[in-house]
Amino acid sequence: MFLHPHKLKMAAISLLNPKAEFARAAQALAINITAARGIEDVMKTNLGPKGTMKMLVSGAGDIKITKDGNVLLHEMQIQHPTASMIARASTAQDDITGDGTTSTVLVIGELLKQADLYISEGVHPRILTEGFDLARVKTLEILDKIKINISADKESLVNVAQTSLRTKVHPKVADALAEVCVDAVLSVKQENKPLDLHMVEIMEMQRKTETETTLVRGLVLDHGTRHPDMPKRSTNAYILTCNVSMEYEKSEVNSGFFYKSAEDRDKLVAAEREFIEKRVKKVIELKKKLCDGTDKKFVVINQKGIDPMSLDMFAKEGIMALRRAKRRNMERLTLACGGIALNSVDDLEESHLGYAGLVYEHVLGENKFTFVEECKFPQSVTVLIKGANKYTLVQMKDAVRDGLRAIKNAMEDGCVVPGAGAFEIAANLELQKYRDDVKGKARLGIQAYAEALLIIPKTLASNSGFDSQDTIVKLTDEARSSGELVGIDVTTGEAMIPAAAGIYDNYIVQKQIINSWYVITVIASNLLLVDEIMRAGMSSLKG
Amino acid sequence: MPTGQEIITLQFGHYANFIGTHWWNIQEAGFDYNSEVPSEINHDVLLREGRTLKDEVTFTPRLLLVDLKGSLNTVSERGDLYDSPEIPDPNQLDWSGEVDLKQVPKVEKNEYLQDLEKEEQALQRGDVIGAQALIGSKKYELDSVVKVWSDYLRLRYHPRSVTTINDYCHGSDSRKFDIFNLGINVWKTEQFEENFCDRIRNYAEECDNMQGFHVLLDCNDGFGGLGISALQYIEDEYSTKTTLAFPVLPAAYEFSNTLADSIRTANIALSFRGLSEHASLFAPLCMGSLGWRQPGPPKEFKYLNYNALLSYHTSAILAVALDTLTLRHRLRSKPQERLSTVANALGRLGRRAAAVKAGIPFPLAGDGDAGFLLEALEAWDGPLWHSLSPSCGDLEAERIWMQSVVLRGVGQERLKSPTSMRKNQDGNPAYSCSTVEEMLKLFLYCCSYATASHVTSTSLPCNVGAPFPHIFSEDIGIDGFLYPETRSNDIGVSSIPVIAGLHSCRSVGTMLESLHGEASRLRITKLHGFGEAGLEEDEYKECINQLADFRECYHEEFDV
Repeated sequence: MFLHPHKLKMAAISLLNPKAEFARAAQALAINITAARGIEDVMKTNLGPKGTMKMLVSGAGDIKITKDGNVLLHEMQIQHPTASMIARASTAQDDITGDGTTSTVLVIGELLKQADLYISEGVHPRILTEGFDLARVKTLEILDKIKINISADKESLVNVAQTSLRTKVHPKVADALAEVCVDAVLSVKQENKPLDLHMVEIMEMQRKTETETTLVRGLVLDHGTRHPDMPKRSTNAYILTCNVSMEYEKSEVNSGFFYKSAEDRDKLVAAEREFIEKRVKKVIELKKKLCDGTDKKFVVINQKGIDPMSLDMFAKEGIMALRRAKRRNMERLTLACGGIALNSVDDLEESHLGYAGLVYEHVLGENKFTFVEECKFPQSVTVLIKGANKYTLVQMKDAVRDGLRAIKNAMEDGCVVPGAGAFEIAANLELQKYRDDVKGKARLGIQAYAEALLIIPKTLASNSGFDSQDTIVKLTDEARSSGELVGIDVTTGEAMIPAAAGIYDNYIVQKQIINSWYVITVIASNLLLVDEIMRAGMSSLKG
Repeated sequence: MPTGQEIITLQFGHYANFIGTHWWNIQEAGFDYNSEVPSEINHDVLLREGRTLKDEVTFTPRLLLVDLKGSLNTVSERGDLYDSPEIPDPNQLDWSGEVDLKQVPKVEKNEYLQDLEKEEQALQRGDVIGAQALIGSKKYELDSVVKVWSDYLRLRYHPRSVTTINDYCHGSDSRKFDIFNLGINVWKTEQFEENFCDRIRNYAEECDNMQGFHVLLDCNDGFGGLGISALQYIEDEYSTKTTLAFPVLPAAYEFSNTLADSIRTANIALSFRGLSEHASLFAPLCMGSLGWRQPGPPKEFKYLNYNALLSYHTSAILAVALDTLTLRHRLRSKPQERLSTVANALGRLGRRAAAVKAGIPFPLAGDGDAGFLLEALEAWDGPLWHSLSPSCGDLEAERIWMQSVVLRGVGQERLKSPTSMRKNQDGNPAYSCSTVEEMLKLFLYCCSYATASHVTSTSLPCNVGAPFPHIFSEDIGIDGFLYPETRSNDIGVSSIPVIAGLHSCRSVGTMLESLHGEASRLRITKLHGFGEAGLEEDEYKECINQLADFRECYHEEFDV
């Protein structure tokens, strides 16, 4: 996997010098480090609220604006196997927890660099990885020690969401989004049930005006009525959610070669048509029973098609009917409005229906949107993102997702970790103490690991325009003397208490980053394996 | 009766997009912007009218296409019809810190695309004559210029249309999208299961009376798996709609060795199995005569000189056939023909695979007696068409059960010569035919025993002006008919008459048999990529068995 043309020569040397193995491993490692460096350099400037925003413009003019490590990694074309391994490990991190991609890349890159130092001095990679493993276990312990338990109240959740979002969008936008996301999650959270983020629909709306994100306590559908006479607005409305075809479709029997005459065909068409009409009439019947003579209205939202003739029948009754709703919206609708999603209209009754205080249509160019609002106890809500162009919408959508994930993580963890580099500083100090308890060369691995963790506060400092070494010294001194968890204030470069400023990271995200060290082990053992195979090959030739 | 006749087109893969691009270009060339009379072809079937935020009316294909990252060249994914193509000033962005602009230099457009751009600018100025003069009958030499399909794309797409798979790069050697199951895995990502399906739904929601789907898919690589997954989804979600699928195979591969050939064959086998299950009807297309392991020698057409190594050429021929044979359900006819009729009739008895055959161009003399259909058919020697399906040659003992044939570009005025009316009228029943359809139907009836033939005809020829490649022999005049004097070198052909059709016939059985033979010889466990992508040995065996069962449908012992 990491074969390199120079390798053959190197294996030949090893026959003469048994010590050469380490030298070769080191050299191979150097190649991998350069590869890791490549992505690390691109990603490094992302980290933290003061990182650099990236605007990517393709040759054909496609625009992407992002600061999100995960988005960037997906945009990059990575050829080198080690680099793509790191990239995959980091994006896997995002798949699991929704955040921490940039940190993972940095930590892995730094670990490789540290490993390089020791291996070039003759430390066997296997010993080093042993040390890494010890350090990892210890760091997890430290993480558990310093985590702060929270209850799922709005304030702590907003803090977590803000910390995550401020690293991705403008602070003003981040704070607004954090509120929206927390409100959304609290609305859909049901007692004693795992949180299902799918019940928060994210809807994009492209229009000429400025970017704005709001929470709709109900549903926004990306389609509208398709009949000129149908009401565009209904209040105090019953909502029928169904998955029933109301569209006439010629079936196999009466097609092509099988009918004898035009009359025959027309007869069959009429029969088919009647079948569909019956379904429509069933719905109309119920509407008449419930709504006629009252101020109540009736809305049909169907996952299947509704053809013009059926629409016409509905329109005549003042029923608002929408076709081809999203499959997932069937579930969301019933959670937002109540009622159940029906697969047949045969035994239709009032208890099957949901309710919404207001249903209205909004038209933008060729796009229609239908708002289903004023629901009684909405357990499914919509985050509506409005923006002037596609790339803003995409950027916002990514941010909303990350915010939602951060909140979900915090709720599931029941705890958070102080941010702004505080955890890494604390872990570094603890690991240094722990190192002295370990016998043998494995302690070198612990040393390397402790150093590597510092890349996070270092990068935060340098991205904010401060000297990274100065900052580390300042922070560790402060942490040692005060015994508190100390992080970096990105505006002043001084030490501060992140818990007081409401800067919290997700526990699970940190945990995943710590666990991502396995990539290093894989890379290191791969190097060893390749070399040993090579040597075996050469010596058998000789013997 | 229902009004709309909409069809949604899906294109999966680079070669499918090559064909698709030609197909849309051909259609666009047929638009008549000035006429008061609606065109014979109902363009609303495949295209849709839209409206931008600036209230401009657009007319774009009702299309979703998928390709790999890096294959688009000059086309931007979001399109520039609905979104301003301007690149914002990085300093104006809503961000408190620094902004880093990473811009890939703008891709240089080729001569044709540059002219297209100028033409549009002229139109915006209101300079209609200037715009027409730009491309008009100019002869472009694009053979060496065209690398990807967007190099000759004339239309502009709706922002919904283009999807790129970011995980795999076009032309990448290190991470290939060459295994059927990789496509299945890609379908399971959010980009497809959510976004792509939503895009299908958005199109479907607009339709008043959708007929179904046209699906073009590369079946020699991962796109086969992706396309089949899409078909499966469509079958599930749009169960009453008809899907007409065209699995396509390039006529030349850049790269070939025993392993690559085996992988391709397995992909094709898996795709065909999927098609036999989930498509209403499918017709394989390949300009190579064999198709499975290797494309084989290119198909020969008397009046075409094409380069089989160029996708730009071979895809053009296939596009002409597609545009023609789908006319049956795209014309404004009474009663309206529907896709379901075509698919159900041809696909009866489980024979869901059909062969595509075409005569390109349909050879008629430009003038003289031989320029009339009747005289030409009377003097006809050999078959009317050649097969465009792989390993599906012109059998000696061919037996056609059912066929749907479309003849275009031969108008009523070319039906029979006025002079021949006076000759021996009584001897030949064809003289009594008063329409092109009637006459061709009679001809087919006489040529082929017990074949149910459906004939469609239109006077509209197939437009093959720029950027269509110059593949016609010099006997073909600018109007697509045969002339004794050769066409001068600096003039291209602008339109041609074409005959094309779908055939349910004995040779489709032979095609399936040869695929089954090739595929069952493979030892799938030796092709590691499949195992790694999640295909189990038993599943492949099952696939081979299903192919054998499918082939059985073409045995005639049980026919009634």
